[in-house]
Amino acid sequence: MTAKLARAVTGLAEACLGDHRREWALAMRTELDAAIDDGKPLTFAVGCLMGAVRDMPTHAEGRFTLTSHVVALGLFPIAAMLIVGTASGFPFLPSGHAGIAGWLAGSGAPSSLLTPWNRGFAPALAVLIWALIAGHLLMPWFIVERNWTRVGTLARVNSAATVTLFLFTGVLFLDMAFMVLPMAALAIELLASWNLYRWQADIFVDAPPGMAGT
Amino acid sequence: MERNRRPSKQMLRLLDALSTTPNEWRHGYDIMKETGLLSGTLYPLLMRMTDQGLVEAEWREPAQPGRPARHAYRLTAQGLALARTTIGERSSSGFKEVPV
Repeated sequence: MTAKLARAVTGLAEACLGDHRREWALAMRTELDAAIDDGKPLTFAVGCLMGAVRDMPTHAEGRFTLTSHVVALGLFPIAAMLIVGTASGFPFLPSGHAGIAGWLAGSGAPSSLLTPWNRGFAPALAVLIWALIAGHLLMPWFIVERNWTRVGTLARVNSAATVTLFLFTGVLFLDMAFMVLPMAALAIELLASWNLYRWQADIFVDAPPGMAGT
Repeated sequence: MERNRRPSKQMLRLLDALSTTPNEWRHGYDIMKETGLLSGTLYPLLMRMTDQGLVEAEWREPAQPGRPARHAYRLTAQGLALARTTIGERSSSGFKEVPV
């Protein structure tokens, strides 16, 4: 059991070392057998992992991996804001407050953003915004996987959903200020994913993003 | 690039271990046991020293049949020169390594 756990930890160390240190990763893996024979596989494996993590900022691939994880973690609060906002009536549910200032302050008199004539659109809009939230939640996962084909597809879907939301908000004469958060979320997401894509293309000139695993 | 920084305590320990039998290829785990360095210290040190041209690494056939080839290390001429310099400096300053 300890040996299996040690192999898993060594595998994690190999992933942290990346292509840049592939040979060293294999060296650690083969030395693990000696550590198992010696009865100290976990100590050896954890040490390798710590060494691999410490080595990451010293090379471009490691810095890229660390940054993509930070970006992925940074995108979660954006999706969380949309979820919390939706739960408190954002942006079209009848329990919403009048105007964004009233909604933020929580002191505005509650008033329905949807009128009797546009209330029929509420289910479609609710589905749209929940689809958008799902898209924002999936994006960090694809970024960490470096699956740029899926990142690209999801970016187009999220853009289309946000633009549709924007258009319907205008058509239904709803408060456009509520669109600030979805638009900002989309802009941050697109900017971050595009920059990571370009960065990876620079690092792996011989193997452009999207060649493997797609 | 020339090294300006003084070798760390861990690096001195590794230089000492590798310079005792400079022509012999040594495996990572054996070096760990001999120097008392943990894998989290030894491997980054070996990587850095290999990048600096102080250590050379090679895949060697294992002693036990059926096992995969193992990575082995030894000092380069530059590494050996550094090891001898540091040993000379320490002996002239009366430095004594405390066993761990």
